[in-house]
Amino acid sequence: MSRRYIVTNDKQPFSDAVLIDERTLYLSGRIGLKPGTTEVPGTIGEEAHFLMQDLRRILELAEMKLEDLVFLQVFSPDVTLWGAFNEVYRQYFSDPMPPRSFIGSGQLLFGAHFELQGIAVRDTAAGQD
Amino acid sequence: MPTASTRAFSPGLKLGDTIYVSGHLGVDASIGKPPADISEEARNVMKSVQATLGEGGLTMDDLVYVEIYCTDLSLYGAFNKQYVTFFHKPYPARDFIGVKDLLFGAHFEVMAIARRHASHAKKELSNTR
Repeated sequence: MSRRYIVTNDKQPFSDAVLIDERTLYLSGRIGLKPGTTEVPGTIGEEAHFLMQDLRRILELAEMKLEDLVFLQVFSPDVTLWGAFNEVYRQYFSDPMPPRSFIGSGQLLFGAHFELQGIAVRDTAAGQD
Repeated sequence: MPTASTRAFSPGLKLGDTIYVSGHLGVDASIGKPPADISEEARNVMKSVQATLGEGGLTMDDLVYVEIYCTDLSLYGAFNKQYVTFFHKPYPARDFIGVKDLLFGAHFEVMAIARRHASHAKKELSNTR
């Protein structure tokens, strides 16, 4: 049994993800800020794209892909953004889509409109290592 | 593992090497409101999680994912100051979500997942981008 922590900023009180038994990846919540800044992008679409790309970046550090996600939670202070979020989200997956919950939350850090958290499991059955 | 309770949930559920920890508050239900000191409430909620893990034979360092709900994001720093004292680095994955209300006027609720740490070796993968 093993665990591997993925840490891209050791000043934060959390790791970006932890990989258990080289198989199950628990990810920290991610938001769609402009990369390298603490600024929320000007449009919702841009923010959703940055968010999905950031999620993919962390998955890749564990040699995984978006399609390895088995469960996702999306938090948003504004549930009317559901449609706009999905328009972007759908571009990153093909069927079958992972299970998901979309929750109307209170405020998110840095004024983000979405926060996305997930759990991924490496697909060993597909012949990947 | 469930303890005798009139509530509709267990403090935690142990399934093999995994413990799913229910949301814990830093508020004594018999008092019905949080302590005046936010740091005390933050410590209480973390100690409460620690106690539930202890009942399952695990420690705070066995946590892989922690979900924190908070009614006031300005408490982020004060919460973190107490949070980090309960762990050795590297920290578990985490999500910190602003919410509207919590039971008993609590400011924090903490839910978590722990996995038994058989190897006692935390491997850290650092990437700077």
